[in-house]
Amino acid sequence: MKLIAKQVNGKPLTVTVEYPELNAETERLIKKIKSFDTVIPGSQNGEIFALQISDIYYIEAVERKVFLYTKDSVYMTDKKLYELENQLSETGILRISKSCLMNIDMLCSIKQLINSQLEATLVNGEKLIVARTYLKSIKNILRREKPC
Amino acid sequence: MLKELIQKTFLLGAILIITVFSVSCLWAGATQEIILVFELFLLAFFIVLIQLLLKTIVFRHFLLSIIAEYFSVSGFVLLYGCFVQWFEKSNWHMAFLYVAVVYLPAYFLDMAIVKREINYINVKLEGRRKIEHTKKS
Repeated sequence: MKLIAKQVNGKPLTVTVEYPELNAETERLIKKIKSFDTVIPGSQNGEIFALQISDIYYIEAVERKVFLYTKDSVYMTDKKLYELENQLSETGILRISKSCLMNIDMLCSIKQLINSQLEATLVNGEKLIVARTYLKSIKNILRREKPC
Repeated sequence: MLKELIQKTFLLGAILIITVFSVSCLWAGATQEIILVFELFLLAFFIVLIQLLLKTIVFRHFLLSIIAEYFSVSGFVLLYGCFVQWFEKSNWHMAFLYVAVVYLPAYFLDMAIVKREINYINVKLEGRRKIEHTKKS
């Protein structure tokens, strides 16, 4: 991949993606650039932080409070889980259970446990329970990606 | 593709059965066979309704949800069967047997489908990782 960065005065920040063929990698890159402007405010110890989508591993609702999990921190947000689900539907963050949204870019693997539950392992080793109803949506996102 | 073919075949089969028996009912009146077909369709309607209602309750374990569904549906089939006089006092347990005959293959089929979907997802994720690894190196 060739990267060209140049200063152009009097123009807003513009990213142009040129590709010979639209494949999975290009689609992911475009998706990442699109989500760059989307930040979610999260609070931690009274301080507000603007979190990039690409830093979020998963989002979980616990007793009516919504928490954003990054690699090594947890932030709280005032937004409802369904609001975040709608807002982030195009960014690769999808619902995996009644109380959890997961960033598909952080997904390492899925396995079925002996009790028939489905367990997702994230790239940082954390494990999340996936409801069977949402397994298809994970599959559909990955299916949409054209092979390289 | 195969799933769609089977689903559509069953749906069309059901529509054909209800149409043919409805026309027969108009010409020949309600015979025992025609009443049985309508009773089965009504039973199917209630079973689907129970399944939809149970879906709103989220169980932590899939096995628990399938057991809850099995007993709810069996209980309803038993009540319905008694109401339309399918079962007598001596053979009420047949309701549980009939439902088990339907549910057991459905359970194993679901397990197989989920396993296939998980394999598909893991293969795709592995492919993603390989691309990223190639790019980095």
